[in-house]
Amino acid sequence: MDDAARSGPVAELVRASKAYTAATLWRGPSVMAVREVSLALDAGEVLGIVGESGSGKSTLGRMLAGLLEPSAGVARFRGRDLRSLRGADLRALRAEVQYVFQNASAALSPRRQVGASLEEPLRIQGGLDAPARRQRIERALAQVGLGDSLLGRHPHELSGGQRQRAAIARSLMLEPAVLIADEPVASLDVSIQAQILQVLHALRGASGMTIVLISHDIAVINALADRVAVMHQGQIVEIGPRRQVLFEPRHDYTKQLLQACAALGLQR
Amino acid sequence: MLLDVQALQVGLRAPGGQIRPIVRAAGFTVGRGEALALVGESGSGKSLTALALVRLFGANGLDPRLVAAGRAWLRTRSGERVDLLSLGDAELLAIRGREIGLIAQDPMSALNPVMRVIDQIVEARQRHLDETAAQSAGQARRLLADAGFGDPDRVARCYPHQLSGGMRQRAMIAIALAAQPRLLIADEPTTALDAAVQWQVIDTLLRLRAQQGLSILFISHDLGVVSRIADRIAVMYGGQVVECGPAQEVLLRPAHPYTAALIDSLPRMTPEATLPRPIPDIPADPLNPPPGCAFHPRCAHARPGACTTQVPGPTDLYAGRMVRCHHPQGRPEERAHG
Repeated sequence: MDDAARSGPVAELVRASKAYTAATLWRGPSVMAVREVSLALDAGEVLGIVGESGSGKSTLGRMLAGLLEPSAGVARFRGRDLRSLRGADLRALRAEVQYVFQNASAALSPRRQVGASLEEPLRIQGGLDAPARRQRIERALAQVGLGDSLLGRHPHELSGGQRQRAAIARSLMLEPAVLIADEPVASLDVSIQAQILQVLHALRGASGMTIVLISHDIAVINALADRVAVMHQGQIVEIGPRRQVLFEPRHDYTKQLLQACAALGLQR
Repeated sequence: MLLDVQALQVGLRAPGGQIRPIVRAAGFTVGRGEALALVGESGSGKSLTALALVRLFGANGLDPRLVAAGRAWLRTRSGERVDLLSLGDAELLAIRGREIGLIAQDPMSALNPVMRVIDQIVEARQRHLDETAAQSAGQARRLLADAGFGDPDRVARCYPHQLSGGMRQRAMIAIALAAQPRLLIADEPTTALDAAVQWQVIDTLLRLRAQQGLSILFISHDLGVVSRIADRIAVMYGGQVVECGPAQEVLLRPAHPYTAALIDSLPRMTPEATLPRPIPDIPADPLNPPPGCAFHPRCAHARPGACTTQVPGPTDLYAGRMVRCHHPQGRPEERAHG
C-alpha cells in the first residue's frame, strides 16, 4: 500500500447510488435507496449515521463495507475501487471491514457453540494455529467484557446483551480497521444498551478503530459519534462535527428529527 | 378508580404441576383519564401483567401453562366492580374490546392481514354494540380521524400491508377503541417505530385521553416515551412493582436504586459527549430471582443483611408514592449521612 492510500480516507463513497428492484409479480419499479452520496471515512473516527427507517442508512453502510455494490458511483477502500478487488485482496477487505448487524442472533449459528462461531472467521482466513486462535478469541471476548465461560454455550443460552457482545466479538476476530455497527443496540434493554455503547467506546479508545455507528436514535449517536451524517430519502442532508449537527443544526430535516426526539422527552 | 390491581401473581405451571411464580405481587391503580406507565426491562413481568388483565393466556390463550392469581378490580361502564381474574370466558368476551382495548407492540401480528381496516372496525363494533353494520361502518371514519388520519376514507379501505408501521399502529388504536372501551392497554406500542412516528402515536393517545377521558395502561421500557405520556409510573423489576408514584417525581427523584440506574443508563442529548452508565450484570431471571431483593446483585447500594436475605416489602414514602427497597434513596436521613 502506498502512502497516499494510507493517509487518505480509509473508506470512501463517491457519488454512490443504490437502486433496488421490487421483486413482485405485478410491480417492478426500482427504488433508489441511496442517491449520489459522497462520503469519506477518516481513520480512527466514529461516524454516526442517523435517519428514519427507509432513509438509506443501512444501504449506505453496506456499500461502505463492500457488502453491496453501488449501482452507480464508486466505493473505495484505502483508495482502491472495490470492484477491482479479486481473490486475496477481496479477502483482505473482508477482514478489514466488519459489519455488526442489529439482529445479533443472525450472526451466530444457533446450532453451534459460541466458541465455534467465533473461531470460524479465523479458520476461513487461515494463518493461525489452534493456540493462537484461542488467544485471539479470548482477547476479543475480553474486549467486549465477556468471560470465556460462554464459549461452550449455544446462542440461546445467552442473554440478549451477551449475544450482541458475542456478535461484536466475532466481528473483532480478524482485527478489523473498520467496524460498521448497524443499529447494534436497537433491540436491547436500556441497561444493556449502555453496556454495548461502552464496549464500542472502549474499542475506539484502545485500538483506534474506525467505527460507523448507524442508528435511528439520535441520543445513541450523540453518546459516541465524532461526526454525524443525517440521512433523509437516500441522501445525506447534513454532515459535520457532532456538536454542530446535533446542537446547531442547519438543515430543516435535522431540526425536525431533533424536535421529534425532544418531543419524546429524550432531551433532558 | 377504574382499575385496581392488587397482589397480582402470574406463574408458569411446570410439568410436575407446581407453579413457578414469574410476576409476584404486582399492584397498581389506574384512575379515569389517567395514564399509568408500567416500566421495566425484558423479563421484568410488565407484559405478562398486562396480558393477565385481559387473560390472554391460560386455557384458551397464548400459553396454557400460564396462570394468574390475585385481584384486578375493574369498574365497568355500568358501574359494577368486577374482578377480571375471576371472570368466566363468556364474561371476558364482553369485557375485551368493550371495557378494555388492547394494542400490542407489533400491529402486523394483531391486525387481520386479509381484512380491510374498515371491516376490522365494523367487526369490533358489531360484537359489542347494538347497531347495524352500516352504522358501524359510518363510525369507522370518525374513529380513524380520531386516530389522527387526515384521510380516513382511504385508510378505511386499506389492507394492513398497505399501511406504514406508524399508520398500522394508529389503525390498531382505532380498532382497539372501536367499541369505546374506557381503558386502553398499550403494550410497547411505539417500540418498533422511528422517533417521529413514535411521537405521532403518543400524540394520538394523549389527544384521545384529553378528548374522551380515556384511561391508559402504557407498557414500555423506554423512559423517554414514558416521560411524555405517563401521569404516574410503576417500575417493575424481577416480577414486582419496585417503585410507583407521580411520573415527574419518579423520574426526577427516583427512590429505588434500580429506577435511578435505569435513568442513568439512558443516553442523553447533552452537548458534551457523555456515555450512558450501564447497569452491571444482567436483569434478574424472573423464574429464578436471587434471594432477598431481586436487584441486590446489581445494586450499588446493597449491603449484606436485609438486602441479600429479605424481600423488601412495600413502603409508602408518602401518599401515592411506594418503594420496595431496604435503603431507598433520597430520604432525609440518607442525605444526612451523605
